[in-house]
Formats: sequence, structure tokens, C-alpha cells
Amino acid sequence: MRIVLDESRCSSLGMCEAVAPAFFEVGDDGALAVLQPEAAQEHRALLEEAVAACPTAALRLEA
Amino acid sequence: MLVVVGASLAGLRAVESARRTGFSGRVVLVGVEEHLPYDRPPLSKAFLSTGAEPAPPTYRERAALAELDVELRLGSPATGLDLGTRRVRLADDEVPYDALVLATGASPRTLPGPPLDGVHVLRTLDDARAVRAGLDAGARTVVVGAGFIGSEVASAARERGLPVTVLEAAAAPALRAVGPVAAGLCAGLHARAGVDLRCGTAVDGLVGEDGRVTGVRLHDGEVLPADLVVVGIGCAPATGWLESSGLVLDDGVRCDERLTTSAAGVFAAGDVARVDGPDGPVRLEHWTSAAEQGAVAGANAAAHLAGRPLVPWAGVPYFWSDAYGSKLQLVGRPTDRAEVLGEESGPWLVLYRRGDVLAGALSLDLPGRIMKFRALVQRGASWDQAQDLARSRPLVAA
Repeated sequence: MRIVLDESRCSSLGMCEAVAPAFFEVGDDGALAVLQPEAAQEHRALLEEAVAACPTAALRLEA
Repeated sequence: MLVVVGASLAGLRAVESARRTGFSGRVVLVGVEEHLPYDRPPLSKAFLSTGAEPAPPTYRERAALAELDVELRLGSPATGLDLGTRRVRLADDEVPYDALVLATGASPRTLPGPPLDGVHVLRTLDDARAVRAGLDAGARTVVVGAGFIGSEVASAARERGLPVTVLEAAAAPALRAVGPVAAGLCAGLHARAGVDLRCGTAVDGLVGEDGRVTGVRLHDGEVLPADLVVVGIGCAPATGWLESSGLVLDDGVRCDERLTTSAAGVFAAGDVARVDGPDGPVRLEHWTSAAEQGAVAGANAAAHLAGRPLVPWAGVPYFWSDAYGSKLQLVGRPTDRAEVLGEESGPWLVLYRRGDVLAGALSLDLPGRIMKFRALVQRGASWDQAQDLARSRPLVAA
């Protein structure tokens, strides 16, 4: 599945990184990097948790 | 039937979680406000910013809510709870439950005295609209309380070039939230933004004329002229409606780590919940805890009904505040042993020590660093490991 980031909603709060550091990291420049935009289905539960953890609803999963 | 009382973040997450974990019975969501469940943090941030008034920060529009197959009872305050017959009392009705989640949040404290136009707390969408209108009208603004609500309102005033005075009864802003060392750093933020921050200054009362506020009277008799007074002096858990229920209440609804209250099948989550933890019971007023606890309470309510094991909530406290163009972030808990790294003008990092472990960390404008410290707090990492991490790279503002 694909991780989609809405940069207009992202304010680098970092909860996604807290939940799934292998997939998300807020860089020193303050921007969120999606480390692996395409993820295998086995990670679905973890990524759904990361999506739900975002206080600004900036993330969603496709397919 | 699952009933969730409180239709904000924790309550909505409870409904979502119950459905996600397979609960297929009736779900009723009761809320005091008329609005569809909406997000509170933007109300003191983007909602007060210059430019056109944003749309209400609704979590899910009706169609998306309908996907949860939840019956909404909005604009419907709960007035009591009968644990014996398992019923929630509303103004004109009673709702029976098999499992119950209490997520009624917290209510802002107010100043004593008769109500005056132009004086607002900032908790609801309606409060935010009123505060925004005052700021847009160029009000002389006085903020009572230099916590995060107060700071964010003051920031919105300064964004409009309006003069603003912030009154704080304690010796420094956000003292309980960040401890004395960091509070001193926060005071500098206000000062550099041109805010008239007065600490150690208590409000004696409000002055009004024809039902509208005209000033704030301090203990020494000085009266600060004001068209808009925003009161941000903390919240009390909304448990008044539970006083005669028999549930154990103590600064909130008491519950164990699985969010079970003193009554079986009744769970609590969010600002109203005081939860057992490794360092004693805590009641957090953070977005992340409300979201996490709501999800756990909903899952546990469904598990309780299905005879499945319950799961604990073990979140790490985290909050953020955006003011004066900067981002403040706290993970874990502040302690008396605080070490500061960085320049007072920012970016800076405060590490809090408890014994030999890292208890928490507070950062100004270091969004790329703070979550690494959250991971350390979560696993009980040592103070030395925290030191190594802090010094592993120079502190550079984002």
C-alpha cells in the first residue's frame, strides 16, 4: 500500500515517527520524510496506527 | 449496546476503535455540544490567525460518521449515571448500556463575578469564534493565565500587531507544565514577541459597564483597560454529572491502566480520566493521550462485552504548542532536575532527570530531535544515553 502525506496539513509533530520510526522521520530541517512510501501489507496495522496518531490528519493510506 | 458519553476526540476514537475491533451492536455517542465532533488544538492556533475564518475543524462529516453506524445524541448533556440499572440520564431521556465509555473532558475554570460580554474562556468552537471576533475588532486584549492557551491567544494578538498583556499569578509562565528552569525560558519567548507578561500578578476582579468588560483589576488596584479578556487558567474534569453515581472520582474519573473505572464495564478516557500509572495516577489534558485512551477504552469496552482480555494504555505524555512563530514540544514528564542545552533565544532543549533515567524532554524549534527523546523516555533509557543523544549533533533550528 502507499503512504500519502498531505504536506499542507503536516506540522511535523512527529507522532507518526513515534509510532513507526522505520517509516517516518522528522528531519533537522523540520520537514517530515516518509522513508518508505510503498509498504507491504504486513505493515498495515502499524501504519493505520501511525495515520490515526497524527494530530492534524496529514496521513492516509492508499490501496 | 455501547454508549459513549462525550463526543470529542476521546469519544470519537472510542467509537472508531470499538467498531474496528469487531463490535457490531448498537453504539450511541452522546455529546453536550451541538456541533459534530471537532478538533480543539486548532481553535487557539489556525482558527485565531489572520485571514478568513477557517472552516470548523470537524473530524468527520456526517457521511463519514455514518460509516461507523453510530447513533448521535448531540446537544444532549448527560445529567446522571445509574450504575445499578446501567443507564445514562440525559435531560429528557435515559440511555441504557451494556458497556460505557466516559469521555466528557474538562471544563475551563472561570474568574469569579457576574458574567460580562467580552470575557471568554477558550475551549469550544463558539468560544474561538468569539475570541477571533474580538481580535479582528482590534480589541485591547488581556489574557489571564500564561499557560499554552494564554500564550497562543497572545500570539494571535501580536500577529495582528495588537498590544496584549498576559497576567500570570505564578512566578513564571507554564510553571507546572515545564518546571521552573524551562518556565524562565518561556518567559523570554513572550518578552521577545513584545508581550507585556506580568508574573506574580493575580487578578482581583473584572470591571464592566452595561454588562460589557472594560478592564481587569489587579491586586494592587491598577485597572488594565480591556475590550477582550481571555481566561486560560486551567480546566477541571467534567465529573459534576457523576457526583451521585457512586463511581470513584478524584480529580477526574479514577481508572486502572486498562481504563476500567470502579464499575465493571464502565471505562474512562481523555481529559476526564485519572489513570493509574507507574508513577501514580495521572490525568493528562493532551491530544495524544485523549486519542490513545479513547482507542483503548473503546477496544476494552468491546473486549469486555466479548469476554476477551483488556489491554493497558501505556502512552508517553506529549504535547505541543505553537506561539510567536515557534514550536514548543514536551515528551514525558518534567522533574526538578532540568538541564538546558542551546541558546536562550532558541533553539533549545531541556532534559528532565529522575534518578538515573530520562523522565522527559522539552524542545523549542527542534521538531527533528524531540521524537528521538520520546523513544528514550518510552523505554526508560538512562540519563547517560539521553546525554549522548543530546550531544550527538549540534542543535540547529529547523
